[in-house]
Amino acid sequence: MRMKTITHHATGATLLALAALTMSAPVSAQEMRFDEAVELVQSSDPDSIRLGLETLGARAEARAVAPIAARIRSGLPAELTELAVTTLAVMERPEAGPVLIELLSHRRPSVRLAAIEAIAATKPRQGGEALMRALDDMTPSVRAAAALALGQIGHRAAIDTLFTALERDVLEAAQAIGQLALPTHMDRLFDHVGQMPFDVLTPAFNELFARSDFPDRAKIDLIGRLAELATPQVKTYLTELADQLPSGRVKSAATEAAERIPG
Amino acid sequence: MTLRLTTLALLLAACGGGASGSFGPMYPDNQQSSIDSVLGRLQANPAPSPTAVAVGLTGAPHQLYAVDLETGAISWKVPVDTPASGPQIGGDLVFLHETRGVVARDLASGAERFVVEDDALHLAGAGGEGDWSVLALTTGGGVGARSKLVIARRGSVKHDLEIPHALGAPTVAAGMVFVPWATQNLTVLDAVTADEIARVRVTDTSLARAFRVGNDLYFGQRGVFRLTPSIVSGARAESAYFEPMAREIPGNPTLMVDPYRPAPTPDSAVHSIRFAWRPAGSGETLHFADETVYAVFYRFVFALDPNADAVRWVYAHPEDIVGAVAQDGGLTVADEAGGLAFLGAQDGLRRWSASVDATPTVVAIRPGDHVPTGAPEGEAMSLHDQLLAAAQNTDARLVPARKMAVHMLHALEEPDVTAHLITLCDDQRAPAPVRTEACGRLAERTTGAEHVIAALERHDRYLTNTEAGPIGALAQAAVAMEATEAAPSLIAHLVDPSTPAAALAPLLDSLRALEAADAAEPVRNFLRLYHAEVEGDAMLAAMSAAAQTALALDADPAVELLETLSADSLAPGPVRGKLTDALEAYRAAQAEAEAAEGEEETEEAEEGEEAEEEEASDEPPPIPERVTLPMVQAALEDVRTPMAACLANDSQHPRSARIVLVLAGDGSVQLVTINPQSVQQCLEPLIRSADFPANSNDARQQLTYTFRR
Repeated sequence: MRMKTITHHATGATLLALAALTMSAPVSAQEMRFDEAVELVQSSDPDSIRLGLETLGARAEARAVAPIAARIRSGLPAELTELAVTTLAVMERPEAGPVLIELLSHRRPSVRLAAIEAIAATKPRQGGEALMRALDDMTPSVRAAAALALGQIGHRAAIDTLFTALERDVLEAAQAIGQLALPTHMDRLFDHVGQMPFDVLTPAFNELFARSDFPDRAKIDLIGRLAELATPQVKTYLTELADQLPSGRVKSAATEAAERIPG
Repeated sequence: MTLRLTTLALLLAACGGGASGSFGPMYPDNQQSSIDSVLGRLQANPAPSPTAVAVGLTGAPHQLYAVDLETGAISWKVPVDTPASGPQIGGDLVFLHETRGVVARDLASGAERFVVEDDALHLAGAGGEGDWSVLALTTGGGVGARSKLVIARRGSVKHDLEIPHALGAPTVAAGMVFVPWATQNLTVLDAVTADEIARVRVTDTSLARAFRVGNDLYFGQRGVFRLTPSIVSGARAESAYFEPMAREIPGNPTLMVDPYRPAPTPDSAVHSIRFAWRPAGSGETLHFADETVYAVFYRFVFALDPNADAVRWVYAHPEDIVGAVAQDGGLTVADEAGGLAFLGAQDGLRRWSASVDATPTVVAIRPGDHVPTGAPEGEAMSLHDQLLAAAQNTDARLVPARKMAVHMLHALEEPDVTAHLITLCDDQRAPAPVRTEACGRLAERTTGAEHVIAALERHDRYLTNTEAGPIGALAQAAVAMEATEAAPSLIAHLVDPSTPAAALAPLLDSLRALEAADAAEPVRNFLRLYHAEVEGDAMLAAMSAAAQTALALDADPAVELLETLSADSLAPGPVRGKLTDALEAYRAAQAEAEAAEGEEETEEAEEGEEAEEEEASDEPPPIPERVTLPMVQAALEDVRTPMAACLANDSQHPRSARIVLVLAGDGSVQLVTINPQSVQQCLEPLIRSADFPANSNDARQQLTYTFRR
């Protein structure tokens, strides 16, 4: 279930697009020997580099990570750097972690953005800490991607930093908070109700109600606290929530709460 | 009763007066006897104590008013016609150039005394003492110049002369009229007869204004002469003369307003942008009172050292200043809101203030003997706080003065000044000239390294709302301070994506100058990562600086890398060009060093043979294990003077230059890199001409030496 969200989640779309590209790679690329593909990647011809990356990406072998990382470090035009990073994302190899983390300091924001999406896909060690640092990035789109990626990889240690980010208008942090929060975090989340538009927080609530690892008791408690707000906006939200939830205690609580709110 | 002087009357007065021959070409100048006679009369007739008065002129509807400085109250106020100049006080009269001519009014009552038709001339100036007054009207200029000189006593015209020369601003003292004219002459007339009784001619500077202070008579324009017997020399150097040091002042005021040019209008900025000073000393010794020249710029007063590029204090007035006069012990100012204040010369604190109901555009002040002795208001801030406050003033008109405050701030050695300059350089709201000045001066600082290090440790951090400092200027300051401990922070900024591209080149240059060995690998990584995607001039400059730094810090791997990168077809052409240039420059330096080494070896061999033949028993001079900085300093001693000239003549006038010197084992120069780069071309050949010692290990040595002029 995904209720209305205020951000565009680009990560999945990008990876899907690249996966489709890889699946449709030419037969010659699929059949190319590993060392031939590495040789292409190491060349100075853009088309050869693209073909080499496609080939290595399609094979998704751990040993393909090192030559791609080396090629990135040796310097490429921006477009090829981003392609190489996206290739690493498609390969979903955590061995790509070091180079991806390095790229969070790349001068080009689009490369940092691609690196964040790749970290979310590859879930390398130290990736969570690196993404937390990326919340400090001066480029809004990079911060937003980092927040979403933290939720995506389930890096619960980032919860405090995500709250700070939310307070500093990184609105995407709400969704990540919803993905990572424990019942003990609900008081802090509710501190923000009334301080920022309700729409900003609904991604957090959506994620919480969609999670199977978030206790029903906590969900019902959350519905009760929302109902206490008794605003038309909350009534609408709870009504839509009740429509989408499967039958059960939580759905009933949402239905009753929505009915209790006048208007 | 008003007397209106017509042209006819003037002609009659000129022809019939006793002034025939005055200002004539045949009159002898610089005659000792006549000068002595004038000096005798001055000493015998001390200046009478004048009333302390300020005369202000308001905007439309125009009113002229006088303030008694003893009481701080308006003593009279009269409406006036459209004025063409500010008021000028002379003796017991005040003159104002209005539509109908120059109107003389009684200083005590404001009553009109007479009017002088201007005949399309401008009011050059007026002066006087006691019941004598004089005014000059002139065309200014040279060929075809004409002027009027009107001498009055007790409110009545005594002489009205037409002079076929440009006149300056005259005065009356001890019954004599002193008239500067034609920029080189000072004629002395007897006030009663209007006969010329002495003439001074100075050929090496211009004369424009004459005035009396105490018993002495002064005159000049760019500098000031006291009339003493030595004036017969007609030359500044042999006379009692003082000229403050030339300096750039906002608005470029002159020491004295030029009377040969059309008089400033009543609302001219000249009244708010000006110098104020008072001559002091005795005999042949001349200086400025309190060793201060005051520079007024709208609301600011800078108390400057007349002889040095130094400031004593900065005062910020609440309103624009439209009149100022220096006295012994301080400065009296008048402002556009009717305020008057006396500032102490030592600290710039107000000792006295008054306010009248008037909004003048210009005020003439004759303080007489009125020197307020009240207690200072408040406590003086430290000079650097005063300058910082001036630099941070938000009045858009004051940008030049703010820039000057930054310049003066830099002259202070206190480490805290560095912190202030960092703040100013980093202030995004400050006007560009102020920021540019602050950043430029910051880069030259040699004290306050702790502030530079602390500022460099700051990075842009969104969540904590932290911003990095002005990295480029900080990096340059670290070099000027030889703060090698800044290197780790500089490396951190090199790999921080939020470091502005424009800051990268100075940052990389600084790593080179600081010989930051730990930076070698990060710099190579930087070159590698970005060589194929450089966009913009700033990144191109950064690549060039990175290539030079990589070569300077660790040559062998840098050469290998640059050979690869400069051949990479993925790299944009300009980048490959820069990398190739750096490599070629390095190789040329190497080749030159090797050639020099070869020549030196040959020379040494020949000298050795000769020495063996001639003095077989002589011991060779000991060769040190390493070349040290004192040895470098000694080697450069012979070229020290031209090196200092290189710095002095550079457009930035750096006080020091950081020289990175690579010496071969035999002492030959392999590489010279100098920061700031602007002096490289001038300094490098001088450095290369010096004889540096060899070292007994025959090892290549890199030394960093800071040369200070």
